[in-house]
Amino acid sequence: MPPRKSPRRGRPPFDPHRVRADGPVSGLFSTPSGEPSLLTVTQLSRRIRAAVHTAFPSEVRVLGEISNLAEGSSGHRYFTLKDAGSEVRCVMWKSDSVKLRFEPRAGMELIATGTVDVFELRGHYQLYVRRLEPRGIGALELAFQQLRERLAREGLFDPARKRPLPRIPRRMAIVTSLGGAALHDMLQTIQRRFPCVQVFVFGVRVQGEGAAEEIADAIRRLNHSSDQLGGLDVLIVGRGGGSIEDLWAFNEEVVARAIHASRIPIISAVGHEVDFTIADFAADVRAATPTAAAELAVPVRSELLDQVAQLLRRLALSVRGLVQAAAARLSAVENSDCFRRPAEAVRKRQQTVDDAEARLRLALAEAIRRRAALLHTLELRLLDVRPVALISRRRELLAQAEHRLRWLQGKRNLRAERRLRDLEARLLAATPQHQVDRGGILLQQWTARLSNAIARNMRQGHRTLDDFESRLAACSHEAVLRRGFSITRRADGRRLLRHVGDAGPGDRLVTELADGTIMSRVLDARQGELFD
Amino acid sequence: MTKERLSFEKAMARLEQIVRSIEEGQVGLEESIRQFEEGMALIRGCRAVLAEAELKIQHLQASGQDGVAATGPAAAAPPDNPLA
Repeated sequence: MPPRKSPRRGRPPFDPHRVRADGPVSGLFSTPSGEPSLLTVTQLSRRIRAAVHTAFPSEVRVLGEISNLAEGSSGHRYFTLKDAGSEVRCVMWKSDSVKLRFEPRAGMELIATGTVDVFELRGHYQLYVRRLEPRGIGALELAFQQLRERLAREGLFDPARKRPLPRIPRRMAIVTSLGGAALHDMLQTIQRRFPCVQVFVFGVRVQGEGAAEEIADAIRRLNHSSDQLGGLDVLIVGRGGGSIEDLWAFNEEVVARAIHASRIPIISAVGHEVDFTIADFAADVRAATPTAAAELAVPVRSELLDQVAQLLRRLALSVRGLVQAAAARLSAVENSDCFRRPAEAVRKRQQTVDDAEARLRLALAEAIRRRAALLHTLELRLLDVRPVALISRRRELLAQAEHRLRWLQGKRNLRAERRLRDLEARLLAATPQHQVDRGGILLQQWTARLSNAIARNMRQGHRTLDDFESRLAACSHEAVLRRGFSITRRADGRRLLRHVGDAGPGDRLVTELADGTIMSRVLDARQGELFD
Repeated sequence: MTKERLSFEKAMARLEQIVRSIEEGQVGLEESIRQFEEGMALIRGCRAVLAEAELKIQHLQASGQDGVAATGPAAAAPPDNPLA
């Protein structure tokens, strides 16, 4: 026998509709039939939230790929972290996200540290992210890479704009922390190598909040006050070794820009050999250590002293050489013939003079002779152009001209006469009488020709007419009439009678015969046959 | 200080120039002597700069909006030297 459920004593039977919706929920209870109890949505959400808190009582670290980045107007950042199997919605409050050193971008693999909770209003769970770091490399490393790329694109690290350091500075400045070993090392190095320089030390904080701003400000101020200090030739900016966080101030954008904007060349000296900061890229020269920076900044005094000594030696030598050369020339002059045997020099010159005199005389005589000859020639030519000679020559020319003129005139008269006669003949030939006579003859000729032409035409015309006449005659009906045919017309009409029907009995007809006409009246008309 | 100062580097360069000029002997004797004297003056100046054995250190701090001011004692006055 199956066991029977004992009925509840003193209690009304269970009615699900009577269960209060907002009643307290303590544990699950089920109906006698085994169905789950009824919950409101809010109740459900609350339960889920509690369960989540139980399952995740403290912070979690989640690795995933970031996507759907968005920022609310509040400044809070929203994104999704996902992998191949699932995804979770994330929120990062503004207070936490400002601490981010790098810029999260979609696709990055990140590790999010935070708490899991349920956003009851929307009914989904979220990861409330407190800290975000890239997977594989640190957040700082990523920030460093991002900033370096950005500034490199802007050209802040362009090698072309890096300035050369002065070889021998007279005044320089160091920006570093006052208490550190770096400053001590640098000053010691400079003292050792080249104490002839004046060093200005501008103490700043090199790590911590605001350190970057202090460093950048120091660089700016030193630039501004350079003239006031007498002209700074070079700056060293740096600090001793430390972790990437310690050195972080030298990776800040504000420091890089201050270094870029500096008119004074800057040597960066940050940390150890292996440490590279953004400041190092921006500086004109990077030193691996502070000591190295000091060595780059100043030359070695002893070397310079040697150089100066060398120059002095060369100067002295060269001047000595000059003086010696001058002395040698003087000595050469002293020893020359001119000094030793002066008389000889004089005699030699005398001979030269005599020789010159002789030549001069010869030249003179020759010159005189030439001129005399020239004079004679000119004299002759002058005679030639005496006025008397000129006149007689002119006369002769005139006579010649006259003669020629006469002869020409004669010739011209003859020619003129000939022309005249010729013209006369032509004129006579061209008299109108001649033309009139000729005209008369022509007229006669044309008249004759005209008559002939007319007569010919007349004959032609006659012939043509005759021809027409005979042809017409050949077609005329008179020949036909002569053969015995006749033409009959109605008296009241002109048309020929061709058909029997054209005339009826009683009609008057006119018949034309070869030699006349006959008028008649129709008695009868019959078609097709002859009257008998 | 606003006067034109001959930098140490320029002084060295001028010295080199003078020495070369006299060595080549293109310049006349009188001019050579004059250049020699100039060279000697420059050498004296450079030597004086290099003779400073004590490094002069001066600490600065921010002052006003853009400037600096000395903290502690003022640095030694620069020597009377054209190469200051």
